[in-house]
Amino acid sequence: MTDTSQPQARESIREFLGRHLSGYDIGDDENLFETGYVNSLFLLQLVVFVEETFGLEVEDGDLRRENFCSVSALTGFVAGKQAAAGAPPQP
Amino acid sequence: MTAPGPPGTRNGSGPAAPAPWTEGLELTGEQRAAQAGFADFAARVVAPYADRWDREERLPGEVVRALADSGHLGAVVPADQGGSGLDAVTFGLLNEALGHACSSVRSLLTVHSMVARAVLRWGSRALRDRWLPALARGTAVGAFALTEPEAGSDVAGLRATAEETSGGYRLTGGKRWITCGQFADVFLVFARCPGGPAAFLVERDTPGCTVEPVTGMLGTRAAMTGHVDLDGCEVPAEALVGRVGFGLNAVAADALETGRYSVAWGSAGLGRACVEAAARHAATRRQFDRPLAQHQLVQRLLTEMAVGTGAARLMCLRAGRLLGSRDPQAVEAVWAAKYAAARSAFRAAADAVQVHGAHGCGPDSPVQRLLRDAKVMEIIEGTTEIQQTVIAQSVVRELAGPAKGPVPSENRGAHDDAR
Ligand SMILES: Cc1cc2nc3c(=O)[nH]c(=O)nc-3n(C[C@H](O)[C@H](O)[C@H](O)COP(=O)(O)OP(=O)(O)OC[C@H]3O[C@@H](n4cnc5c(N)ncnc54)[C@H](O)[C@@H]3O)c2cc1C
Repeated sequence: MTDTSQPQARESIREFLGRHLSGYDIGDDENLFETGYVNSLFLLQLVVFVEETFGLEVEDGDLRRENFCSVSALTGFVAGKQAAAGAPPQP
Repeated sequence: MTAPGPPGTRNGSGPAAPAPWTEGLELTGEQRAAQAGFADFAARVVAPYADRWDREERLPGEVVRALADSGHLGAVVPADQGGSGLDAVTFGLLNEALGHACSSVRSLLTVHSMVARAVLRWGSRALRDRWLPALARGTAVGAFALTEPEAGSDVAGLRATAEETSGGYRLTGGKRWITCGQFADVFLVFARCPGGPAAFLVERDTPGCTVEPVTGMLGTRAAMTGHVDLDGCEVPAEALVGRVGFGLNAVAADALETGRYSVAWGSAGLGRACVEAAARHAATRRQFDRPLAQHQLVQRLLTEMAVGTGAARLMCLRAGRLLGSRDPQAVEAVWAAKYAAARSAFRAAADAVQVHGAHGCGPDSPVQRLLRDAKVMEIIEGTTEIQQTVIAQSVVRELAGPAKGPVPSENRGAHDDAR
């Protein structure tokens, strides 16, 4: 499992996205789904990536655009889930 | 038909001896044991009747019950939730065995597993409590209702609507070519809400839900396909699967991945049935004073079939291993496996008919059924052409490096996530 402190989380999210955005350099707050660079298989991969990398479960109630739409949103989502699961507090 | 014996009983033939096909796959002992059990089930309960079901265009209730009683309809549901909780490779082997025997039965397993998967993965607790046990036991059969008159490959064209009501949603729209539509108890229906596409579980007997049987299909004729129409069907709020806005890119995408993986292995099984039939015929039928198998051009057909099917099967296995280890690359591996397996199955089936000559065209020949069924594999769960556009896109991304521009709208839209 990846180090879950927030800067590392952000970094590994950026790295994953980098592989999926045809090299497009996305800003932290830029809306992923509006870049036009992701195809529709992407969300499935993103969910598996988040679950496996951060050891958490994305549940039906988590399906909200605001959780997945940007690097910052994803980082916040991961931190929130980890906090709820009693993971070590974020730095 | 003679009613198939209950699971676990034998009608003479014992479990098939492990074929050379099982070697070199590095299956675990449990996977091999499961594979032998699936081969036995398929040989007893399915294969002897497949041509008859195809002609009659129906699956008898007994075979659905036999699948359920064997736990096969709960294959994708974990054991602690009432299913048989097969790992991805073992689930693949089940699909291969059924696809080898009868693609209509395999189709039933496919669509039912897609619905079970959607409920398991994205259903609310209330929905899971209500439906998962019945889907896992197979006391309720699920069907997947996405395609519409105007929305085939391009599901962005979805026109069915779901309006919010005081207690839930009201669904209106037409769904086409729904496998098992004639008898499924529950449909996973995709419809458009003001907040985006959404998925709903709709019970067959909901007022306003009607099913028109489709007869005379080219292939998977026994899969009891139906056109499903929803005319103001009221469903409770709990019928929503996932959340509004995520019907296609999460719920359908996930279910379709299960479906694609199932069809991939099913196609590999179908391909193997073609190779076996062609090899047997070529070894026994004599022309020009020798068996067909000794004519070099026939040998070429046999070689292409056997190697193509074997290669497709390895791609299925790779996809299964990646799915099993929850690797994000599994998504692409499943697409590639389905593409390879469906194409090679169709070629193998066409070649199997060729090797059989007129015998392959006659009414009693299984290879003509295999050929008709194989064509369907190139259309369902993503047509061959849609797969070509999606696979090419990921190949370019992987191999040609950065920034070639945005994804073309046809690849970005919902159509590829839907099939
Ligand atoms: C036996 C059977 C069972 C089925 N069961 C189900 C089911 O259970 N549930 C369900 O929802 N649906 C089901 N379907 C429907 C199936 O998913 C669709 O047939 C499939 O998605 C293709 O859509 P279409 O038939 O409308 O073809 P179209 O989308 O109209 O395509 C026709 C042709 O044009 C090609 N084409 C389309 N777009 C492009 C493009 N962008 N680039 C290149 N070529 C393109 C296609 O590859 C195809 O060759 C079933 C179909 C069959 C035949």
